[in-house]
Amino acid sequence: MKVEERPPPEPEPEVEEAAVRVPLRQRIRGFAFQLLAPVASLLIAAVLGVLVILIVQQSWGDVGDVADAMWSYGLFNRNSLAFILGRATPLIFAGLAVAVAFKAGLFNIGVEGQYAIGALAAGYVGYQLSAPTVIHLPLTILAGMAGGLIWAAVPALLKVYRGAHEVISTIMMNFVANAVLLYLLSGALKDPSQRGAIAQQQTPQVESTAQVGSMVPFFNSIGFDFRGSAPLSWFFVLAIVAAVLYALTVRRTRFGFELRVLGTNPRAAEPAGIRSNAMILKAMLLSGAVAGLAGLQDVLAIDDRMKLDYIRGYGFTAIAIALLGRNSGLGIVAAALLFSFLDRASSGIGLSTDVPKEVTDILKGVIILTIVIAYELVRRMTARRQLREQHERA
Amino acid sequence: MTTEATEVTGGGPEEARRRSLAIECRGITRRYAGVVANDQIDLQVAEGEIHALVGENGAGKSTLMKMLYGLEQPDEGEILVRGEPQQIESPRKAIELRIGMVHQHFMLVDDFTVAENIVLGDEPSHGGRLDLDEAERRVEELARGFGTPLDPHARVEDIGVGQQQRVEILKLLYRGADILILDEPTAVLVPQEVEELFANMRQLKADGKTIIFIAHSLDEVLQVADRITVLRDGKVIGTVDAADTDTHKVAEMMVGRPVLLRRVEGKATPGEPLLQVKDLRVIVGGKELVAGLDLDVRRSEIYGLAGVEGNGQSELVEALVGLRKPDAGRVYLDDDDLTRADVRTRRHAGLAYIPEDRHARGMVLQMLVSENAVLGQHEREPFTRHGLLDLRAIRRRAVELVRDFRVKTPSVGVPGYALSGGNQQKLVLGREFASKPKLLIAAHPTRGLDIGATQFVWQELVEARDAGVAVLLISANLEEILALADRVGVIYDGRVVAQLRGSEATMSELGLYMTGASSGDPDGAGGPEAGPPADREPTA
Repeated sequence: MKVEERPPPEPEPEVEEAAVRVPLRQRIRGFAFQLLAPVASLLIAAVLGVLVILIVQQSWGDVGDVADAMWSYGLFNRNSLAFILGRATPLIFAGLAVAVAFKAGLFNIGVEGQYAIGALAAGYVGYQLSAPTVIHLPLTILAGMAGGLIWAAVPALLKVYRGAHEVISTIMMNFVANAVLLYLLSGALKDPSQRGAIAQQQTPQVESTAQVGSMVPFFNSIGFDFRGSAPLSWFFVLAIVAAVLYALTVRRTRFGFELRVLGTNPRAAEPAGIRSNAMILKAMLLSGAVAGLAGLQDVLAIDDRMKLDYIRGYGFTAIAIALLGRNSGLGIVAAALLFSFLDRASSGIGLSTDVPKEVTDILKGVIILTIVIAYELVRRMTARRQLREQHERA
Repeated sequence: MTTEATEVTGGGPEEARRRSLAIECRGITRRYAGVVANDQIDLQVAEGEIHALVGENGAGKSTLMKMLYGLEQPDEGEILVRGEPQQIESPRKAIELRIGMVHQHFMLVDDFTVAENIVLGDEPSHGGRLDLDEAERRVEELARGFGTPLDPHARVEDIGVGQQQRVEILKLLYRGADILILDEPTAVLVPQEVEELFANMRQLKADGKTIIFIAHSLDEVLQVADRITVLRDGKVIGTVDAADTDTHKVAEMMVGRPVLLRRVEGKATPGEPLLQVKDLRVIVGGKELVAGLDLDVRRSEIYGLAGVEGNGQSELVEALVGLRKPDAGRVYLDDDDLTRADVRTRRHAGLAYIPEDRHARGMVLQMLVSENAVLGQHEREPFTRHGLLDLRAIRRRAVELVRDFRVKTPSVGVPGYALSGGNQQKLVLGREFASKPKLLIAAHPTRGLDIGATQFVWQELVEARDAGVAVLLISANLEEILALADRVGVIYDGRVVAQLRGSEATMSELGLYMTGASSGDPDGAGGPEAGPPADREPTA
């Protein structure tokens, strides 16, 4: 919303400037308030993390080891950045998918199932079709989006025409998606070369024309030194583009405007001529289509095939990411990077310290909870501050 | 030794007088972001009096009350409660000082009973368990002899607004408050309920309670208040005895110039019917709330629909705007059948709508003032081009509205909730006028507005009418109907039971129709009265 607050580039002579501008001091104070939450929460999380380790391990040495592992392996290892960016990619897509629905006041708990179906559809088109890359790759990606969209369409239609609550129906669709995956990957879509006791339930490999390349060579060409196997593909760039498009859509388009009206005050949407049902449908379908992108990096760039054991809980993590990122494009990217970093750090802790894996999971939980609570506290403080300002007059 | 202390120890009649003051404010100043909301306010409220606080929107009334109730702290000055200087740093402190406040928007739990709501926060308990019987007994005791009986077992969502308000007041009494602050208590009430509220207030006064209340209707203020303090631009203009003054004098103090709400004459002549409603029926929960209603509004005409609230006005408006599907009947705009059309289609066809509940249906309070300034027109050029918002055009429109409709806001880049209620209303009104409508449906457009703003809105309605707009004005305020309407219809029990020329209608006549005591033959309304009066027929 900064855009509107920026003073217009041209003077508008008919306007008394004092009457329309937020005083600079107030704006700086507001901005400082926004920074307060992340900074405070990281500090508190660090303190709590130390406490957790002390309680469980009863050793200051482990605190040092954990901090060292998080620092040196999590952030500054040769491959850390590649892992963080690569693992953040699906989380960004999934977080955006949740956020689109949130903006319209809808809880899409079904991202998990939607990207699974999307990944399956993309995997199928990826190995089944043969065409030059310029046709095959876009079609494969579209198939992924279509898969997610179709899976989201069911709860969307149920909500609009039958009033079924989307939370229930999207959760149910997750179960159905699991079953469909299991059925198809062990049956119709199963790679025929997989046989015997160690047979993997997975599709055949996608054609090279549908594969998306690694970004490692690009990064290495600008001075990094990532290992070739690092899970970082050009999908990362697509994810950033998606986040930017999302932010622009929400702020700068009529669709985004109507989405926000519907999401913040549905009772005002109708008198404003906004067709609520059509908007609910569009928001949910868009959410599903974006969700469909979340699984594609694994299918088209890392595993090069759809595997049964590939579902990684992106859809549920995404809810936390959207909440943490306050449904803003930038916030979601930041939150996805944080989650990805925590993942990386916890493997570091597992590799180089005596601290059991369970403790690192507790640490992750503590950090995320702290952030949520700190944000909520700051939100309340801000609300109270705004309430005070609201009684400015009358 | 401060000056005040010297004065107090000075004793004598001065001290005696101060002792009998329930509240005294001395030089209270409160600033927000460069705006002085309260400027050196001196206010004295005697014990056992009903003290009214009046002023235009933004005069600083609510700010002052919030400081008395501990929701705000003064930047300067001091507050004395029963003669003692006090720091009222929180509502909790206010309650300790036996000061209670009823907010304009009630703070009740809808699915709790009356008794539960009243004792909430201070529940009688028995060994850790809530003693509901005891609660109900105490509530009954409190409610006894206080207005019409109140059922302590009734759920709050099932009782009327007037009763809910009484629950709020009883809640304060239950906590032992003897200084009661009522923030615009009459704004939500229909006339009968206002009468009842006033009876209750007088009774509270007889019981020795002190009441401070904020009000807009000067007639009401003069009816019930002992003294009136007028605020303007954050300053106290004066305190007068209600017995020694009249509406005109108080109004003049409020706006700083002579004001008279009077019939606004325009020069337009009504044209052919623009909105036609035929045999409209709306059934809600098995009840026919709009029961075969016929209505037409002509171009360049203000049609005033008078009626006691709850006679089908809300449902009628919703059906006309497209928020509710009628169960039978037809709605035509300009000969186009819009009965089944949705809101957007109707807006494109030239409808503008000022909803009854502006905070809830007219604005998105969390969104910016600029965004709210185009809500409903946001899809039109120049605000949207090829699906993209033109933020500068939106901003420009917002700035125009803020200027032309005198909306007080620090900026158009702040959220809607940063505006006071009256200013939110002006923004919505301005926005709807700015859509250049053919038909304007205005539901209670001046409710909650002060005299200056009311006159302004009336003027705007008349100007819209003169510019050719057909205006359907729904109002429970007869003064407003009589001041503006070219034709008046009275709605009773979901039907238009009488139709009169605005210039010929009288308050008493309308009052009779409104209560259903006298039923003008609805078919008679289709007779000479309903047809365009010959003297106003446009000359070809």
